[in-house]
Amino acid sequence: MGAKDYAIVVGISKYPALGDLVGPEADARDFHAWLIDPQGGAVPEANVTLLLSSNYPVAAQLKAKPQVADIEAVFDDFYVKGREESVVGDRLYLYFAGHGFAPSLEDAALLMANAARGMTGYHIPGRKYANWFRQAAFFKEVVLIMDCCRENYQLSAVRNVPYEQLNGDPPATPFFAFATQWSRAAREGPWGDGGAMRGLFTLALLAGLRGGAARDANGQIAGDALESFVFNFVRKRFTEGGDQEEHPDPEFSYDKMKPLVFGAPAAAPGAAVPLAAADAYIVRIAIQNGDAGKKLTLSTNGRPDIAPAVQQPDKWEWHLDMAGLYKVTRSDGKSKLFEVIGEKKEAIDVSFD
Amino acid sequence: MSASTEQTITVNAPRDVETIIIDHAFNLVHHGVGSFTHALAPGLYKFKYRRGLAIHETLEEIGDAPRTIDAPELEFSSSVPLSSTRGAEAKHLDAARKLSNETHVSVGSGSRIFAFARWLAEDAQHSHDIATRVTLHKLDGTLLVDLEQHAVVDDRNATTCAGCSIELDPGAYRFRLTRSDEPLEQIVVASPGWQTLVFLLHEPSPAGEVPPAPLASASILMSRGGFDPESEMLRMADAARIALQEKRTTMPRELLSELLDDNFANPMLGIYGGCALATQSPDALPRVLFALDRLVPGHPDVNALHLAVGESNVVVDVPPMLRASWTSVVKASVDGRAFMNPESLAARMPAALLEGTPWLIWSPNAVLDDDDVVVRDVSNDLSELESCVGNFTDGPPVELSGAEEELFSYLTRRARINKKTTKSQPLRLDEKILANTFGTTVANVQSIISGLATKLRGN
Repeated sequence: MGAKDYAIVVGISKYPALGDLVGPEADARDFHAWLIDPQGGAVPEANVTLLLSSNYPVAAQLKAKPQVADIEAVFDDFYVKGREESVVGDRLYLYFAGHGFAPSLEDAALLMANAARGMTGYHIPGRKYANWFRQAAFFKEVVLIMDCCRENYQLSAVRNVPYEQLNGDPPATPFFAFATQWSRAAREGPWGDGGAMRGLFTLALLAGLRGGAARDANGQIAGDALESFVFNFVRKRFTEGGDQEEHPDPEFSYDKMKPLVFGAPAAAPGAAVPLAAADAYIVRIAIQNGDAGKKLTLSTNGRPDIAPAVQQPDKWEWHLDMAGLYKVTRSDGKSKLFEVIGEKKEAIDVSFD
Repeated sequence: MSASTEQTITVNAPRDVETIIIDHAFNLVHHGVGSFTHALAPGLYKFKYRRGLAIHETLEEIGDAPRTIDAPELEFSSSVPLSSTRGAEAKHLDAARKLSNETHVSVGSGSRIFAFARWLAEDAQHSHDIATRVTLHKLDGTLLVDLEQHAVVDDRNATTCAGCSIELDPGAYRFRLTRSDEPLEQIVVASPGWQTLVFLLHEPSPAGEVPPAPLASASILMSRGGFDPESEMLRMADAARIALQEKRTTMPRELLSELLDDNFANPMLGIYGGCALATQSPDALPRVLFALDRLVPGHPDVNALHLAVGESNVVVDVPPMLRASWTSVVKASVDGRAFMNPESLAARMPAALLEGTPWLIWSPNAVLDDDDVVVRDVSNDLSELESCVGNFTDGPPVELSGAEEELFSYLTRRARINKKTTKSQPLRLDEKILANTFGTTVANVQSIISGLATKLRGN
């Protein structure tokens, strides 16, 4: 799996006219790392085009790169090959991170490094390209991920894919995921290792792909499980951050009856296998006065008493393999429901107060 | 939390609230609208409530007995001063109700338009720093009403809301908002016997940034007589507008399915809902269209919905209010199912439109001149361009307009693709393909081709 997959990964952090972002380049590098990981996307590195701001010298607005033509050239190669040979590969991944806007409600676009307010023609209409390649069926599957903060409203002309309509039979199976409605402030924060600036959507997506999302019977992650994980991951973060109307849900679009699967097959984790803290969600309860001497029971649906990994006078700790909803009950009957979500290495502190 | 028989869970919620039930492993279990019942196995669940853009979540444990859960009160932001929306002050609700029942200017009879603008208290001063003028024009651009001259404001010295009720002939009008000398406009339709309600909210923006254009987030509703901030029908129509903007279909589909009976009397709910469903649930559209044809026959957005379901032989002279409708019109005009008279405003729509809003909004400065929309044969110009663009390897030799530059880049790219192609036929090109590519009218494309050919011919 993955040997005949292809990818275009774009992370634009430098925008001379729009203002720089910090996260997109790190996000694109991290997605690229997952793509070429044999346990991740398993895509041959030679099949991945990685376009980052740091690949290009610093330049003034009109000369700043990458530009539209840099991405169009890769699309054109796929197009020419597909038109002449009918098939290009199994799965096409398109990943775009940077400033974005919505030329129409039906589309989401990545603004290129040379874009400016009033010069939004310099963009790649990601959804339209993904849809075109899906319809043409040059690939069996098309995955589109757009992690773009939105710019203010602009007057802009529509830019469509310049290829003739081709209708492959059957069209490729799609999996599209968008976080294109958030402001710059909502898109990224110091959520990476050591406080590095990262985009929330990509962080959530990769946490899900790297084992946070529920695995199916083959140990792979199905698109619907990934969607659920990402929704709950970002919503949890936004709930902590205040005004929720500023943070619309990400948008997913795929065939719910036939969601794509991600990652290499692996044994699904057993329910009762003890996990090292580095591979687990850590749930921690600091023992307060009211807890002293009382037994604590952690449970979820189908798992009525999950054994603690640490049971000390000052704290109890559980190492969990699965994100989800849990309940902790104290032996005096007091209980609390809580949510386990995020990156596995993060500890989740729970209190009865 | 042992496995046991499913229990009936009753959720009590207003009709415009969506409830999403998620299980302990974050799997979607049910998506309901308004009040509903659903059977759930005992266990832990997350209930996510959504109204407009507002979201609230609760965690619930379902035990071995039936349970009733009341949705929390959710206030959402809206341009419409409906009761219990965020930031809606009582004085604004009262003003909108009162002013919508008055007549401040009369330029005809048979229909009414009511425009109401308000400023959020915390941002009023900042918004007022930017001079804004609202005017209503005939389709040919002639000024009909300057709303500033007739609007009633709450406080001349510190305005927080202003309203103007206009009596006029049924028809379509250009509603223009000019800010910092940059005008934007959209269509507002006055239907016979109806009052069209246009609500603008001047929204806050980060310090130093120009606030977003209020037209982008405008809400347009319709009423038989005045605005009622307590009206559940208007609340549902506005919820359908937000669902359209957010590309959500569950709520409008459920609402329409529940409400579409002989007494259905909510044209904007039908139009918003119809547009939201057009691409994903077209089967539901015939019933919606039947109701809309009865309520607002000939409405440009209803005509566009007819095109969206594949109807033919439709003449479109007036652009619709919604961008989704315009997309249907352009598609139908390119494939020959719709016809635009060259002198009509629809045929003269510019290619550049305001992005990110459900409305069809354009700059009146960019509307095509009469000369530009004369139907002509541009096949020679196009052939000439195709054969010469490859000569300009360093880019265009003369200054081009934005649209001409788009066409130039497009043609050079196609030339490169054709050069790479060895086994298959070169790509075919004509003005219809270009209109489809640029998402605009054939008239626009013909004008751009002629302009570009003329400029390059001298080089």
